Amino acid sequence: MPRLTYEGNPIPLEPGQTVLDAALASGIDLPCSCRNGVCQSCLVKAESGFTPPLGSQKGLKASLAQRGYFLACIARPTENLAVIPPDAEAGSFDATITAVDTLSPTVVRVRFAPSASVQFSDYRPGQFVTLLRDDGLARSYSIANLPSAEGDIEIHVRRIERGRMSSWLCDDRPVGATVQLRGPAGDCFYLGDPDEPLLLVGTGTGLAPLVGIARDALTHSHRAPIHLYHGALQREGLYLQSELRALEAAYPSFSVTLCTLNGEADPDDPDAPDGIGKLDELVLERTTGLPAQRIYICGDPGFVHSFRKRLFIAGARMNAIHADAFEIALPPAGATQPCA
Amino acid sequence: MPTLYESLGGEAAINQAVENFYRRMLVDDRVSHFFDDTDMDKQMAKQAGFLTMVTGGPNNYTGKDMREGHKHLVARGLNDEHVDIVIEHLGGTLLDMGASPEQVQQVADLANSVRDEVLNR
Repeated sequence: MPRLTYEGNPIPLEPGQTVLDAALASGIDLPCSCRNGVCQSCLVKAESGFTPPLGSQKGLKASLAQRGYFLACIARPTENLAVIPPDAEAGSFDATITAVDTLSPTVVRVRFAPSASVQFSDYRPGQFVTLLRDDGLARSYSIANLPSAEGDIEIHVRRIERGRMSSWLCDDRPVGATVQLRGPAGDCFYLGDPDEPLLLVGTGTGLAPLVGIARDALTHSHRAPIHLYHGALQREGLYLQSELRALEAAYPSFSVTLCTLNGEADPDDPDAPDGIGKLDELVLERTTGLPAQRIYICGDPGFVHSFRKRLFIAGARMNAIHADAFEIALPPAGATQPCA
Repeated sequence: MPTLYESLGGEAAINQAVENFYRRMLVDDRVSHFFDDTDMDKQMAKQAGFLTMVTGGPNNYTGKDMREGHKHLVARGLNDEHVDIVIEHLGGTLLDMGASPEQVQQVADLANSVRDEVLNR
């Protein structure tokens, strides 16, 4: 009989029994509802190194399936399987800050090197890590670079007024400091289908995961068009322009549209944005074939939630929209206790 | 006698129906606030379960599942009128996909059969 564990604890498994039934019989309160592989209430995850049973990933979004998630109610293990809850915390590892570089007046690039004994190459660009400082302060940031042999990680950090982590990184520039990185996690990463047109839309440092995904796709010989839209309030909020233009020049399938809400169009100014106005309007005006697109939306939470809804109503497929809302962790005005 | 689930085309058809149904919910101001979740993926999966059940597709829901699943919405004011609107949009979606008025009535009957559990009465 295959050996089944849940959160590391072995649970008895009858022949042909599902993971859900085995867990419930063991007194584990796994959520469930339709008990037929449709409602996804029983979503769980296979630990790294284990494979979800055949057929147990039916209907799952590709980004969940690729990360080992599966449905317990239709999972009948035929080999050893270690299962964890879907929101189980990933492991953490030590890393050192190796560089902090200015990308714009409000954005820095921070690079980390993992400790010598760790190989953090099992991530996809576009996922995020949680950065834990010595004093326990924790904030999440998206990964912008491709995995390298050394396992270096690159994030973009915007300086937030009263932001404890961002002011430490942007003002103190703590090169040499040791931190912990937990992860990776997140739904926004390249899925490997070279013929899916990609629509990448971001505000602010939402550009970090999107440029990571674009790099990942282009490095893997992606064939279909990739359109990246970066939006900011004013021109000063845009960054990485020359790098994006260079990618555009190098890859005919890749195009970039830089947008600002405010400003004047100026065809004679090479640094002028490509579009002025509301980002959602600009994207919808210029995008055809919405149902065929794989879409990534990253950045300001208000924008991400409303644009995702708008795209879905306009015909985009739910399973093809990957959203990452960058929530800002600040205490409410008037609070005397800072966030943990 | 095939079920509506089968005659519509089974799982693939239901997945399409769910998207169409969810879109109708999101643009209807009378009910959109119940469906306007930040976790739209999860919400849609639950609706897939519901549509599978009411079209006679395979499922193992219990009355308790119906109660537990809707308690948080009842706490936010879910009532008979909202259930009627859901059934209305369900009908519209299925008619668009080629269901007959008789089949739509069967679906409404199935949905109505769990009304008390959904509203925790």
